[in-house]
Amino acid sequence: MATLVTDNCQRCRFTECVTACPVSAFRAGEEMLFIDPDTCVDCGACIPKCPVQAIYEDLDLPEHLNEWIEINERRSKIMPKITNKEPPYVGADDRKASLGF
Amino acid sequence: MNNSKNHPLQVAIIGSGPSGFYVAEALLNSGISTEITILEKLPCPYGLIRYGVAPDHQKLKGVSQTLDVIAEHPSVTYLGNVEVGKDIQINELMQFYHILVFTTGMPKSSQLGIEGESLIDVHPSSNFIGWYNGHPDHQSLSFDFNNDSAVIIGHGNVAIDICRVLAKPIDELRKSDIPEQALDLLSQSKINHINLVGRRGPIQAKFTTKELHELGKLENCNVAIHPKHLKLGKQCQQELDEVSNLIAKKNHRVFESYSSNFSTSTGTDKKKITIDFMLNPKTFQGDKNLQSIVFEKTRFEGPAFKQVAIPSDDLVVMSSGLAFTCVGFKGSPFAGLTLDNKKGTLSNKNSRLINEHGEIVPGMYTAGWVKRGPNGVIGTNRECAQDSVNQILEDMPKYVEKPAYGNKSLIEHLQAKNIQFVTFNDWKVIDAVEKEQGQKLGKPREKFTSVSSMLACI
Ligand SMILES: Cc1cc2nc3c(=O)[nH]c(=O)nc-3n(C[C@H](O)[C@H](O)[C@H](O)COP(=O)(O)OP(=O)(O)OC[C@H]3O[C@@H](n4cnc5c(N)ncnc54)[C@H](O)[C@@H]3O)c2cc1C
Ligand code: SF4
Ligand code: SF4
Repeated sequence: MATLVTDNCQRCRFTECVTACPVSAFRAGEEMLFIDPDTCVDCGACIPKCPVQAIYEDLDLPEHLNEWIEINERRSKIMPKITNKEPPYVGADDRKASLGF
Repeated sequence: MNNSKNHPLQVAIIGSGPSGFYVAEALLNSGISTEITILEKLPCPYGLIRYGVAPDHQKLKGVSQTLDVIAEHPSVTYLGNVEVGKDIQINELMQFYHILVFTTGMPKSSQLGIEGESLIDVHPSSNFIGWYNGHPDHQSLSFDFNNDSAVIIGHGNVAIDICRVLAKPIDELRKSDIPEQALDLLSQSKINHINLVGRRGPIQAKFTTKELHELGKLENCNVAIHPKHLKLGKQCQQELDEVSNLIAKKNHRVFESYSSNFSTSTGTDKKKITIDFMLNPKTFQGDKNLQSIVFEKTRFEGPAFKQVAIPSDDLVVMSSGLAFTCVGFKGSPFAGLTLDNKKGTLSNKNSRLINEHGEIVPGMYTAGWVKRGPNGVIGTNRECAQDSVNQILEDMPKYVEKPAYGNKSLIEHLQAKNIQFVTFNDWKVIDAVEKEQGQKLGKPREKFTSVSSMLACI
């Protein structure tokens, strides 16, 4: 079982998800966030928070996004913790619209 | 006087569930100088993480480790075994603190308010959950598992938790931290059919997909839904199609897989779980023991997302000798504060407690379930607590005018009153003994199920 961030988050980074995490499992990459699978307790709190539906449980991860399991594992180990909401990436709203949300 | 290291904001948080800890965390992160006391009526911390979250979801119970870090901050003092309203009154606390924050949760189940609900085999969810999680308040209860079937009313995750505890093979449950006494009773269970009944349809069910999916993975168990329930009306289809309604879409896929089990689920020796929709409970029937439950079929009225389930005269009778009602929770009242009877919350305006005249009670705030109701997941309380702390910070200049002496004065006061409080280090002793006892039994911990047994080991 794992919960992970996928590519919809890239250049969005609304960080709505971060405050909902009870165990501070989010890590801040340059353009997107990652979840540290060793910290995350799979509570699901972050999933409905994301305005661009970037967060999945591996349970219903579409196959073409499978690589993101490994990317989250790897990137989360080298990126700093993020525990509070930050301003979104510049142009995030346009990106959101272009993703159809 | 200004807030400073020598003059910190003194805050007492009442209730050590996740919300209590997250209020402490938000205060600590706010940059002000503060000293925090967390008061808890039980010797042990964590609230529903320990006594609500399902015993077979140990990973989730691991949230407690995050709470430990907050408890061990030098500006935080944990005092367990102190019940506010019983061991100490609100006005006594106000002598020592600038601010009180109520994070007392919702310990009681809401009632359906229908005939027969007081029959001995009709159990509010909080009793059963408390019992199988080892809560000291619920250990004298008994449940008659000598029944072929059980009915669970309500379509949220609490109902699924109860269903799983009833359906899971006993050898699986033995790996959880259900106390031995409860396992003994569950091991004799004869239940092989469980009905999960809701008033509304599959699109409106409040299950989360993961929990729903987990039911279907249970060993020796079939989950079935009558295919008719997935023939959606126009409004329900519209709700399902809404792009933001991700959870309904994900649940729907799981429901579809369960509906394909429907015809094959009878005549096997597997346990059976049936999920039923559009049924409103009307009466529980029986003399002393429950015999059957009468439901009214419901139909929807109103536009998409605002549909109301209207009961009809068309009745369905389900025979069963055991029922659980999972239809919400409510808070406990405190003298001088008002409880919103409809919502079961402490009446508040944006986290600030209000009295029966709707006036703000100075210095008193709330967060978590007792502020907003029994919804969301553990992390929702973190956001909720931050919001409460924002209000506190806004009002702070009013309070720090006078000095307050916080836990030092409170501890002297409790000692003078002869109240045996439990420190966080004491709790760690209890915790270690529970884990050690559990290890011998091949489980994460064997909980003490009475306050006296917890106190005896420190
Ligand atoms: C059966 C069940 C299963 C759940 N499963 C999940 C799940 O799988 N995932 C998830 O994310 N969430 C789950 N939750 C929700 C989660 O438990 C709650 O969101 C959370 O615990 C609410 O936190 P709280 O601090 O507001 O209240 P609580 O956790 O109830 O804490 C309140 C605390 O206050 C104490 N208290 C009460 N009155 C007093 C008093 N007078 N003096 C001193 N102390 C007092 C209580 O003893 C308790 O420790 C579940 C809830 C239930 C009921
Ligand atoms: S809310 Fe979604 S888009 Fe925003 S940071 Fe979190 S995962 Fe990324
Ligand atoms: S699933 Fe829960 S624990 Fe995991 S990252 Fe999301 S909010 Fe945090």
